[in-house]
Amino acid sequence: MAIQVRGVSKRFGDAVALEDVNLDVPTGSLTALLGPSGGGKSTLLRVVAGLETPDSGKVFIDGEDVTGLAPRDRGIGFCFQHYAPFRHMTVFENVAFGLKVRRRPKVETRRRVSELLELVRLEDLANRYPSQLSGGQRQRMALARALAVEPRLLLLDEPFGALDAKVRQELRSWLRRLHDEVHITTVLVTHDQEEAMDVADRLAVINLGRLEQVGTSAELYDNPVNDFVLTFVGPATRIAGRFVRPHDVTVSREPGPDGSFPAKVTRVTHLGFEVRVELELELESDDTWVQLDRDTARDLDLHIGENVFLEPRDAPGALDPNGSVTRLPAPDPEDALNHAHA
Amino acid sequence: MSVVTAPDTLGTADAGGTGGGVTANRGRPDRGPRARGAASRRFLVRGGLRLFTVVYLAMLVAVPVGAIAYKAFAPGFSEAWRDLTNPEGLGTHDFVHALVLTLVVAAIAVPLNTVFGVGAAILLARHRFPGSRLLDAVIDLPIAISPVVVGFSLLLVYDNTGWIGSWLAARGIHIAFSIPGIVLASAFISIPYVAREVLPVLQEIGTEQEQAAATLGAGPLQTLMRITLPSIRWGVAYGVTLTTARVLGEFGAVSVISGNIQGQTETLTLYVSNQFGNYNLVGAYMGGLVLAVIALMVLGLLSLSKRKESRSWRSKSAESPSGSETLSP
Repeated sequence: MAIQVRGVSKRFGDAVALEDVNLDVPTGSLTALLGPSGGGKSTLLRVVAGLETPDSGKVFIDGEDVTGLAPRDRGIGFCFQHYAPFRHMTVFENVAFGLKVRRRPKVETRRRVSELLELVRLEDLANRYPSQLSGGQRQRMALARALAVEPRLLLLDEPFGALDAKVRQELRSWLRRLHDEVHITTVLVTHDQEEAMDVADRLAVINLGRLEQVGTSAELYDNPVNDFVLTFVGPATRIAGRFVRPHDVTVSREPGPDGSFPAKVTRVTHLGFEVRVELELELESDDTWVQLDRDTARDLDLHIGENVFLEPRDAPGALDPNGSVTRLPAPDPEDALNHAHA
Repeated sequence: MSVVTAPDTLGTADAGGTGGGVTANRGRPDRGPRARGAASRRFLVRGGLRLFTVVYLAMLVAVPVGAIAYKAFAPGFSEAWRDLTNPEGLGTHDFVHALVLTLVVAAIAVPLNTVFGVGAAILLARHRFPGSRLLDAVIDLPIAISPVVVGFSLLLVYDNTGWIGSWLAARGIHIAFSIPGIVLASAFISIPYVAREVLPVLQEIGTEQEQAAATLGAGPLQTLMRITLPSIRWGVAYGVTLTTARVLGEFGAVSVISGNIQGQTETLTLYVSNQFGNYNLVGAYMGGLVLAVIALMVLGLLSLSKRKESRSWRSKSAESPSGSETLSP
């Protein structure tokens, strides 16, 4: 294991940032810490980096207890959300900084920085200042700077948060390729589930300072341990107080054998392959929506004002195994952890 | 002389006002009487503001300072030059001594307050400790207290009969009525400037760059020298400039603590005052002019280095067009 987090808790005044978090990050993996803003994921990353000291608990890197070590002794590379470029230094000097303060020979520093600038495709901009770079270029400079000291771990705090959509997409796949090339254990923080699913091979969902679930994106999507994970990872819709995937609902004109809900179609939107149907449930006149594929929608030929029946299908793990219509129990941290380590 | 200067300045202000009105209107299509009314209102506001600023500065600053220069050279340039080199005139032992003393005091007090100011600013911006708010308040105290009172309070403590002064005097060290006292007073009154210039800069740049340096392997000293200090250099430069100007111009505190002994503890400001009191007006004007010139040189040095940096920055930015964002594997 590259990183082992054991029972880490952290408070800022009265606010709980992390509560008894346990997390394993395998060597060479690309893990995303995913969760809503203020959920504690950045704090967890900063605890691993040594930029925050946990109130309790321990952090191990490659089996070594680093809880009491300063950031510079942990062998990490850290990229800040806003890149934290050294504004008074050129791109070259920024990337060379870590080697310079470690007093590496000049020739070696020059060679290594040139290599890294080539890797992040900034070799032509080596003499520019950060203020003269675009957001994406600054991000890549920050990555090169973090990689220069040959860290055991690469920690990225919202690496694509401040970029526009197109650049974000490009950098995302670039980071993926970089990780395949360099194979350095990488942990990134993001609030964007799509980004996390796209880039990372493992996702750790964090909410309200607790680790809810860890797994691949397929595991989280198909077997969420609680409503929070279900609603946060992937689309979710609510039918009679219970959350389901909007494509895991059967729409028919006849009532099903058990547990189907009468509803009135209020809107049908054709989005290419996907057809989005908005409905009003008879029960409590709740609004909901379901997702149909094009063929199913054509067969059904739904019209506004029509009465239909909705039957949530049992997606694996997404629903209560008993098939009851009651809401799933509130997330239990122990349960989440068991799942996380399963 | 103001008859010569003032109308000239006002003339410029008027031209500037008109220019402002024209600029405001330039490149905009006429949008009818309503837009024209707004434009003329804008012209009035802008022109009025400019006129006010220029007249205000002229009456308070430019005219009196210009008058000093004018009066100093009133007898003619050759006369002034003779005065400057003549041992009987400005070239007297007293004037040279006052000039040297002033520079020596500044050379000690300014670095002292620079180190203190930077240290205090870092302490206040980066650390929370008991008494930090008190420190924050005490730093401003020298601005609030009248310099004369500062002088008396220092005298109270550092006089040969004072609390600390008597202890030091027993060991042969005299603070009051000698150069250490003048340095002390100058340092006291100029405490806030560096700290107050640097503190907001530190708060604005935040701690991320310092944290980044820490993750990259820099120790606290390396982070200070390579990241923090370079980041605040302009704040420090402004602070040093203000501190220097303040130290050079200090009169009240220095006048009390120094004892104002001619040729011994007489700084340049005291010299000007004493010459004025002795009806040696040309001497007073010349002294004042020298003070003003030194202060202007300090300000000039600041803007020069600033321009130099921004020019080198601009040339660096000019050489490369905006880079491509595309990443090919």
